[in-house]
Amino acid sequence: MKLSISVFLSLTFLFSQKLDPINPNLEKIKNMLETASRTGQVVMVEDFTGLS
Amino acid sequence: MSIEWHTDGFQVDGFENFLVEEIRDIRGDMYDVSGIPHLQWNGVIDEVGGASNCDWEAIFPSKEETLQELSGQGAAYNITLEGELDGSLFNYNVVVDLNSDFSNENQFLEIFVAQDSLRAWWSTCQDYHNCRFVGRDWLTMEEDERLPLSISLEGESEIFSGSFDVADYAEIFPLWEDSSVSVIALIQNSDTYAMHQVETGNIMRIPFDRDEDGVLNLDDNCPEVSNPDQEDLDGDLIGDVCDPCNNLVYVPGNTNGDVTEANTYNPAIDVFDILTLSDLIDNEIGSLSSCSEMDLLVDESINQFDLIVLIDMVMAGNN
Repeated sequence: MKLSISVFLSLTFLFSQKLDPINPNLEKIKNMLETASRTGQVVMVEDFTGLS
Repeated sequence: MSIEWHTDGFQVDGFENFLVEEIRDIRGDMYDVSGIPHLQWNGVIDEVGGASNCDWEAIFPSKEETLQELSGQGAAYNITLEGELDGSLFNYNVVVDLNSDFSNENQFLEIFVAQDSLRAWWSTCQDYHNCRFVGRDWLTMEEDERLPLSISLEGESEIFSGSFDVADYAEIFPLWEDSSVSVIALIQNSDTYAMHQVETGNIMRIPFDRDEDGVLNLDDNCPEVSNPDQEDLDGDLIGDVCDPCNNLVYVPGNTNGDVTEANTYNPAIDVFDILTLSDLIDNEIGSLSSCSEMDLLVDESINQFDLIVLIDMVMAGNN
């Protein structure tokens, strides 16, 4: 019983370390936006676009 | 921060047309927009062209380079939004402060209404697109709506107030939702189109009572300091708790701000005020309280002529 519980808990911890993949480019841009807002300059983009 | 202006090519069946043609054309003409997608960064850097085969992640590095170039810069202006949704009417204040001296020539406050996170089917890429901050209105577009800045010195502040009825937009735009509406306020030079600061807030979440004293910012005579009773002894619309100058005491001529009796607000205008003003004019002292009103002739200078007026006041028995 104790061995089963130990194996179960070990498996649980192993799978909990599998993180969702994070796009590094998106994270870098997000961090820069947050830094920019803290230092005073807010970057503004006007996006002229369209979907079809 | 971003705002989208969609072209008239967006005509997806079953989805809302996001075009606000007149605004889009005016803003597009400012930047000589022809091909799309066209990104205009801070009003001065343009990038044209999108991704091949809808592979948008592949072009992130080029956008990152532009963002790096513009990020981390200091800004002379600070913008604070205040607002209150009263029924369908959104009342707002845009507070503009200066952190350092900055010329106000051709500087205007521009205010936009945008709707965020609108999902639409993008047939070319066979996927849904999350349209962020789709522009819905430009509140300061018309000539009689323009908001030129008047402040130019460090520490100066200016408040612009206005309102709009969200019900008007609900009639124009199908699928309109008040909860996704934001106000975007930015400072832009009308000559160079350079943007110097931006602030945005969802109309449901813009702070309406910063000091949590039960009095809305728009009505609070001390919006940063709690004063639920709104005491204002001198009636200058600045609450006592944040009023550096009691105008009952600092009347013209009361150079040193003293009173006739302790614990009263009866200004004492006497020979001591004459001596104080004389010392100031002779540079015997550096400065007085910023509350002192010494420009008795109201001619934007303090000199011996103001001293003469003060002497006359004392001789006439003002005290």
